[in-house]
Amino acid sequence: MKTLDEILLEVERPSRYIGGEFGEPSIKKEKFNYCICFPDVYEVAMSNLGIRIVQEVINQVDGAMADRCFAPWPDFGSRLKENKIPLYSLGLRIPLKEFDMLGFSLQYELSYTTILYMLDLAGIPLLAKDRGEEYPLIQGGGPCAVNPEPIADFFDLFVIGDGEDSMRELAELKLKTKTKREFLEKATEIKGVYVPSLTHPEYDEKGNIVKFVGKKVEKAFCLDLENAVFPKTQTVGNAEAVHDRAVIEVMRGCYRGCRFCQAGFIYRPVRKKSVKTLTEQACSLVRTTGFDSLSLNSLSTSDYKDLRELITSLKENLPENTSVSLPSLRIDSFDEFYAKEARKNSLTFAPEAGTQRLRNVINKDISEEDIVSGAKKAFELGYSLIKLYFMMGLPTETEEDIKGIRRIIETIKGVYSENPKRLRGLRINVSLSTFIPKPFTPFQWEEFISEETNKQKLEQVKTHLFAKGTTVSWNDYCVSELETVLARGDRRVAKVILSAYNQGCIFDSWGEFFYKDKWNLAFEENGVSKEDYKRAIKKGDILPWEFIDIGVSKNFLYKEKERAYGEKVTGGCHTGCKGCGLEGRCTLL
Amino acid sequence: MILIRYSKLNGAEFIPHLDTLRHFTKTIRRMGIPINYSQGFNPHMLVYMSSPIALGLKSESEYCLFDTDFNGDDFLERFNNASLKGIKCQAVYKTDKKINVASDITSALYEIKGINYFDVNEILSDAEFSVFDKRAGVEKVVRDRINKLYFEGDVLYAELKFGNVTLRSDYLVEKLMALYGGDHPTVIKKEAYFLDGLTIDNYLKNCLTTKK
Repeated sequence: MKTLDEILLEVERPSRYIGGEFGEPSIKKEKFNYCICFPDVYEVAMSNLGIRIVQEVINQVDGAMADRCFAPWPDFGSRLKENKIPLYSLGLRIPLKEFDMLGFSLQYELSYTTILYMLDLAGIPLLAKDRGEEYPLIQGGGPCAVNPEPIADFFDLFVIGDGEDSMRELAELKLKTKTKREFLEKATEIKGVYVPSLTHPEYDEKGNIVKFVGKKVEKAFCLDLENAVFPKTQTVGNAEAVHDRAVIEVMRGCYRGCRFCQAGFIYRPVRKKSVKTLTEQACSLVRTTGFDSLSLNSLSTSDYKDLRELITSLKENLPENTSVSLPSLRIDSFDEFYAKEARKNSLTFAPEAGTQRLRNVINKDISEEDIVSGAKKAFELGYSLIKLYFMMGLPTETEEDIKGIRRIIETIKGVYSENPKRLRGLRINVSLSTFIPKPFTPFQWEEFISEETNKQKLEQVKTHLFAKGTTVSWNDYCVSELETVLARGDRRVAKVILSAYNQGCIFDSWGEFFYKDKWNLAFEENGVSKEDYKRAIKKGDILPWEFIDIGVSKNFLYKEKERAYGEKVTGGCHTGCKGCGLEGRCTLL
Repeated sequence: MILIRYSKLNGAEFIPHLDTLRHFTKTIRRMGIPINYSQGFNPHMLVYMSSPIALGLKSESEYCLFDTDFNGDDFLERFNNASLKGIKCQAVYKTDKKINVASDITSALYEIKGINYFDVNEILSDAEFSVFDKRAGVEKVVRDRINKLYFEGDVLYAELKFGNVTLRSDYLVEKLMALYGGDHPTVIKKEAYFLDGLTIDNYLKNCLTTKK
């Protein structure tokens, strides 16, 4: 048997596994010990803001502490297993099994097998029903928790929605209760908490859901974002994180309501922080961490009304040489005020669809003129690499829409050639992602593109989009297909995930570890058809996630779907209330 | 300019060279002291480190030079408050000269525990003594890279060439394990010597008087 130190010498990037980073929360064992788990590698996990907030929320509860643990890369994972070293937390370096609760952050569907991998390395049975009092409670939260059904069998509870209040209440409840059963029963009284063993779907003989037995779950809201818990400092990674910078949350939610975008609906209503609070939080983070850049996060930062004021305030108050980045600029709000700070290498715009017609269908209110004027400004500032994001397989899409992408490319090229200040050739990177009909969007009833149609579309892409100076990339069909099934699945999908894991599937979102054949076999073995989850859903059908109320009404979503087919733009919340169902809770009204 | 001697222990030995450099730039910013930047298109902080050591090697004797006009007496305290628990400053030297810590450190002393006792002369007298260089994938004759080799009790000390001509302590330990056996050996780099064997104090004296 080898010691941990000896193993660390054999693996790639051992600094992922040592903890002790600068700025890590100071913790000790308490009465309630919680460990936030992120089912991806250190560099990705350390970039996530949500888990930092949850950790802070728990650490503020008297008698509770929150540690953290991230998925070990397979080289380290296999050595832990061989040498019988159970997966441990990074802060106190104690085995996960010794915690009272493990909280998994569910950021994307393709991380589900990695959750099982982490439980397995920790020596914890994978199915909730096999875990007695001696094992920690397994909890999930984050965006994917809005449809927790495909992974419900592995979890004791989920928190759906914002964690600020719900996680604090859970920790307080855990301190007051003795058995798991008692805790879980009382937990359902907390907003946002879903306990799969106490609510379950009933199916008819054809496999359709006929009803849900048990309590409906209401999403948890943190309506007062301004005064919500926010960590004063940020742990500085020992290995460089993907987003190696200080991060503040400018807004939660998005005004726009693009019909394909899940985040646009599940994070409603829009809530924002004041310039004063944001400046204070930014200064605290930058001074304590030593980062030289700050990111203003939100789903659409350029929609933050006081953005100019905020940037001016940050420039005045942050230490010299601190750069401020805006990760989600919209093409129609791009101007020199925001861009002049940045390094002039590449600029990303997301028109999402090639024609005005299709942009109307998806409620993306960007016009061709917006794209042209945005590009023009960018070129004047010296940019020569433009990245464009489009979607493929959107409802009502035709070959015309793909030709439309080409038109946009040509228009941008034309604008560039008119710029007298251009120094080098223009490069355009076009990224095509496959449309996935996600729960709680107006397109949740849509079908996922078939493999055959996808092939035809790719042919069209090759015919129309391959041009000089342009690179085109697209997603692997099978990966998007799996994401669809895992996003829209019901409880029957759990056994597929389990079989895939047992065959060695982990880190599915890392291309090199995606095993199409193993997944196909897992579906086959369990008699589960992918087609059932890819097809269009009828209006009257009960959706697997229907027992969850995220606040946006099903009626509103359906009306939006109909407006999409009528090619009607609804616009966003900033142009007046559209009646999504959150009236009364919406902070904009 | 400020030259520091620092340790890399308590897990920090697993932080690679470039991440250590990143750590220093952040530490300086957290300290809130002035520091000079390069004048290029993408200015970067002027920080100079001694040559990289093998990942996982614990050290009590690393050096780093900061191009700063800071003149206070509390650099050490401020640094340690702003640094990782595994990377701690042990001594601070003020200098007007830009010392090349990467090229001027030429040997290092390692403390090796866990190797079975053996007669060091077997190695010292063997002009053909070789170790396996994993990176190059070849066996290399390295006798001339061993300055000293001796036991104190059951602890082995090895002074090995370091820098442009180097003998990695882990290669040596692997060879010794193969020859004499042992149990989970551990290595700590205890000292770094400048310009053929000078201690830091003598080096600084020498550097300030002769290198004008």
